[in-house]
Amino acid sequence: MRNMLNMMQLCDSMFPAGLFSTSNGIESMYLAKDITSGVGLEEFCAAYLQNQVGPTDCTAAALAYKYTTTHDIEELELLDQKITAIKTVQESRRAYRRSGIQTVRCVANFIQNDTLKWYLQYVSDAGSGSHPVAIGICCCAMNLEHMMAPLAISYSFVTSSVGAALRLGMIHHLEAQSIMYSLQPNILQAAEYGYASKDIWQFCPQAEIMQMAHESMDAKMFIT
Amino acid sequence: MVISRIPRVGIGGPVGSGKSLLIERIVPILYDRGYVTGIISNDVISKEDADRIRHTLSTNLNIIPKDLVVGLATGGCPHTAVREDPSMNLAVIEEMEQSHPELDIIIIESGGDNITTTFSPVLADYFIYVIDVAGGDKYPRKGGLGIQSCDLLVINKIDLAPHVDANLETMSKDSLRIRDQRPFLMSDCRHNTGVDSIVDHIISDILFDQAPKAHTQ
Repeated sequence: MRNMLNMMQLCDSMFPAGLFSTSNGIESMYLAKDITSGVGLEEFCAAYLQNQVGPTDCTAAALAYKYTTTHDIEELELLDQKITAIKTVQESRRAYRRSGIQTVRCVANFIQNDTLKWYLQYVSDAGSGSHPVAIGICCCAMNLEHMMAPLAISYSFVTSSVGAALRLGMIHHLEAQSIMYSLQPNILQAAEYGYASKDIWQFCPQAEIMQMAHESMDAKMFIT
Repeated sequence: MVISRIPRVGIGGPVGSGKSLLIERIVPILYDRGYVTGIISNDVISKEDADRIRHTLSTNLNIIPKDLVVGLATGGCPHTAVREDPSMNLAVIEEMEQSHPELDIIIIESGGDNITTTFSPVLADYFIYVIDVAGGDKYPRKGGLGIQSCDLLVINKIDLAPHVDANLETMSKDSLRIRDQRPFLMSDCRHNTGVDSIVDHIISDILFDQAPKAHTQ
């Protein structure tokens, strides 16, 4: 039960990782009328979970967890660099870095762990850092099961995306919960893929182009 | 006295109360007194405030580098960004502190209504709340988290008082009463009235009258 509480704390919208400020490109898609309803939102989330979140972020979180168990800092450094390099959208890359650092800083505030300490020093020295790697390290430090690391990533992606759609006025609060429930198989599938995979890849060109367009918008609610 | 981190001033207030112009007036005075300032502007819907401040202070006046004015989108939740989850602001502050150790002070601006606006104590060491007389002279009397909890209340746009039938004396009395005699100031940023006194408060209350870093190194 204690582990379940740890997972609930890490994935709670109150956890200070800044995820409320990102829409994962949904804001620009909504303004361009590419996604205008709950149906479109659900389809986008399912596709993004399959082609980006699972094979990239969930895989990175699962690998980071594994490397943390042995405090393998060389592999963690390489992983962090790879995840940073694969984020082609500048604002996403920057937001991932900031969220990752603040996540580790928060957990290090109440848990003593060598890898947490090392990561904070490393990101400061190297100017690096990423949210999935941070989640992997934190899940391990909080004694969560290995599978919980990719699951925390896929679940957080959906809550931040659905939350963004709610604040944009695209959906209402009851629809938001229905979509969250309906996406559970996709959330699990992405986490399971990340848990089992060793290779990092992604293929979501249209979403990336929309996120790049979002970067240069003058009026916007979300970082990306 | 040893200060281990760069002091931070949070400036909050309703949209249109004059927060951005106040910053544009404060920073040149701090600059003239030798202090180097960084600015983070939390924007609810646009980059306009950060762009304007950067244009005024960096491009026109050339008194701070462009990278010391950072705009942050808040996902429609300005209160969240400065109160319960200030992580994005803290991340930008860490980056500023690392790249500009010469900074004396960091100003964090955020729009937000009087009922809900406060700054996390981890984010801001000193909180200025800005209201304007156009909201009516009842504004201070009604209280609220922003007006009551801030370290310094600024009542701005006093030049408009005669045009909106706002009684400044009433606002003064109510401010003192509702804030248990804690400080408030009146200003007219458009004509640079009262801004020096606000800067005096910042230097004495948050910088503890310390000399600028450039003067001590």
